[in-house]
Amino acid sequence: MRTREKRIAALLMASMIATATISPVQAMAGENEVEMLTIGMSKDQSTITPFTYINGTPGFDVMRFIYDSLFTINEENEAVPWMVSDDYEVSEDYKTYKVTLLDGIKWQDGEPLTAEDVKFTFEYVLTQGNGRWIGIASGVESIDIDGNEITFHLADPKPDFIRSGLADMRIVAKHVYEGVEDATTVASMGSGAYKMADYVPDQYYTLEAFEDYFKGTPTVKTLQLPIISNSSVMQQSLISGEIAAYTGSISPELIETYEAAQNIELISTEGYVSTLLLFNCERAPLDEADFRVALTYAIDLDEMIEQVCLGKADKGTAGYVKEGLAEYTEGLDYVYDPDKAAEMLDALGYTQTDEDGMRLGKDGEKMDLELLVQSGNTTRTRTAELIAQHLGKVGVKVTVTSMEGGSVDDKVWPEFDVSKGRDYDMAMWGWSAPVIQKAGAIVTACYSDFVAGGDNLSGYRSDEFDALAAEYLASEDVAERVELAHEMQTLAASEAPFMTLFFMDTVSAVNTEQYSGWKEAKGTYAFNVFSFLPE
Amino acid sequence: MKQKKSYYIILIAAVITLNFFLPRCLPGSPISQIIGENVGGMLPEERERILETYHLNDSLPEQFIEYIKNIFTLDWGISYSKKQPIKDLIFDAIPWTLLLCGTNLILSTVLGTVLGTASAMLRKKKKDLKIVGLMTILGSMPSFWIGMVLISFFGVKLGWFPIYGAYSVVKKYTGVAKILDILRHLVLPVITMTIVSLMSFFTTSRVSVLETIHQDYVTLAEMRGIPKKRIQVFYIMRNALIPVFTVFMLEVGYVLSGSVVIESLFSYPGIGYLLYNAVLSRDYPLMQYGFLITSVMVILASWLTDVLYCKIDPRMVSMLEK
Repeated sequence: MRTREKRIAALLMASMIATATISPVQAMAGENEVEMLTIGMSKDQSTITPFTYINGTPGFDVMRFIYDSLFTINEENEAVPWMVSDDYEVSEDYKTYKVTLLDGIKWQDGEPLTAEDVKFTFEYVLTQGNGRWIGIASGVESIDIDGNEITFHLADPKPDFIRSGLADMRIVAKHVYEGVEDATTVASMGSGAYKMADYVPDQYYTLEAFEDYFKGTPTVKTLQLPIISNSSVMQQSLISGEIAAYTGSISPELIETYEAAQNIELISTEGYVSTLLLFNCERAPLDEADFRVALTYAIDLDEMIEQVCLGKADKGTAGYVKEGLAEYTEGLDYVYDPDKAAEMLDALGYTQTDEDGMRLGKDGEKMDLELLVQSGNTTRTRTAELIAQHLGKVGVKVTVTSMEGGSVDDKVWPEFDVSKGRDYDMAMWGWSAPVIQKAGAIVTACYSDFVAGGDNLSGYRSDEFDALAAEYLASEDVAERVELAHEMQTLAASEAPFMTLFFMDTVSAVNTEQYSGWKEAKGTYAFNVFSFLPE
Repeated sequence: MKQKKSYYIILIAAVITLNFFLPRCLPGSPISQIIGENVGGMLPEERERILETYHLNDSLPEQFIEYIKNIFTLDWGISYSKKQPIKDLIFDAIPWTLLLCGTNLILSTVLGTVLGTASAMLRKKKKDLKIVGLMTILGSMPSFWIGMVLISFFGVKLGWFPIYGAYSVVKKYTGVAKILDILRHLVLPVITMTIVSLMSFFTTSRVSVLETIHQDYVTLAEMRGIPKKRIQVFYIMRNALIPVFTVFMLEVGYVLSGSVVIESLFSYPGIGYLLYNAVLSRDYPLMQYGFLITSVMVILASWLTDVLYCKIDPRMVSMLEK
């Protein structure tokens, strides 16, 4: 290299180093009371109010920092009193719930939070378009308040009203929302541990500790949440220490990388987010229950969990409801038996094969089932490929089609309304933890009444199931409901409108040098509000 | 020239129309972004009410008329996905894209042209082969991959540069420190973009210089004993740079469109990143006005190219007239 070229190179290098001298400020090492912590957020979630957040993760998760509910889901995944005293009362018929609001709770603007706000919330959400809140509030017939005492009178018995209603509904301020026609125009302001200090679309959110929080001032004064949309960059940012954690679970293949990285600890808990294989029950040959069941025998879930999830998942069951939940039904495990699958397919008349050994349809035409998968989701893509491989072994040809998430939604769940039909053979899908954990989840997933069965994406119809579902919804007896749920699951297992493949563990990677107060909470990530509350 | 103007008017009309209809041809519904993840739990009448509020139930001609009216009144409304005024979102993103793509344009034009010219001047020599080889390798690399390599090496391993965003969201710098902070954030995305953009300037200038070198007037100038440097600058470069200018002007048009890949990779808050997210969220109004702005910019750049071309090369006037 000539001297002049060397000089130019040296100059370039020097200028690069000069601009690199400012290093980002990080939190104080190893303490659990720090000034600022940077947490990566995977996508923009609008203004993050109960009426504007977009996705469960990260939107709802971050909203829990800003807005509180009367009860909360604690680290043990139990619904416990939060803004109310422990002496709440539930009537025997599960139609009346009496709670007492704690004294001294304030809104982040300094106004006192009263029982009026709670009553207003349940009435106001009915005027807005969010299905989650409407679903809760529409079951409430009336609310009586007497000082701090609030009594909810329900139209129908709801044994899980505390968990799926009171622990979910975010309380909003009457003095802010009253008279507001469109709630999405209101800025974020709740009574939670953190207040929204700044939001720059597509760039970052700043949350600041609410000093007057009734559970004590949070341990980290400022949570800076930069939006980093690229997952690889997010991972690199964590390794380089630019962020202390990120919203959401890490992919299993990254576990080894993070284990090797300095100052990074993995926090793993049981997960409730499901991964499903949907069958379109309205389209041949999947409209035959035995055909669908035969396919479930051909899929090896153990191998799938080992290969795709690297062992970090719980196996799904044909009963849909996860083990450990109240309505879980024993004895509905999937059995991997490809010989039985082949036998069943033969018995159904799929005996002819083409030159590649793939089964032909009953009419002798080639049979090629399309399996839709969301292109950005690597776990689901690998799962889909493995399913195609497993089904190929019993002679069922499956072609995996990868497309952008919105396009898959449009084919599986057009306009998010199951009554609008569906246009797919098979699809990879997943439901969030609240959907899986709610009582009556099997009803929502399989009932052919498309309002009560709002999650019936398979288009499953069974008179027997519908009768049980109607009985379940009308029942006032909790024990009877559980029994009916068992019956419905057993029936659904025998007809396989979908296959519940697995529930991935939630694994968080966190920087323990920057902050040591991370708390493990079942079913959620280390970036949860409990990690920042004083002891 | 009059005919040319009418072409541009037709083009803009077509762009305005397409920007309305294309987003609506995408599969998927914007309702999940308006309502959030719980759209499935809504009753049909609630869903209808939301569609009505956002005029999504109106017929397409009705929506189109409203859209045309809003273009001229500048009442672009609120983004479905971000619940912020669309005008603010677009005009906040434009400066970042101008900074990133403008810097890239200057760097890639200068470097690409210098390297292309040097390569042509050194034709058939070892150095030329080295330059061409290097440029071919760099030009064939996907921008995403280049970005990831730079992030891993300069961002993570050496820790020299930040790997996301346009400025530090952790510390609020002011004055010179703020400028340096913005520059630090600019380094990796701009290097990635420049590596990718270099090739078009390199090949254009190389081919153009090679063609010019063999022109009769260059040979004549050499025979007349005009100094080599003078021939290179005034006889060869002056004429060879006209095609480079064309590439440059085309790139000017794209400066405002941003780079979806680079901006998304580095979470750089430019117009490309904004529109990419708008497409994913089926944010019709943000898409239609965002794409409209970028399309109009490309058309303006094209018009400017025509005008400047005639100034630079007067022969073009008669060609365009023909």
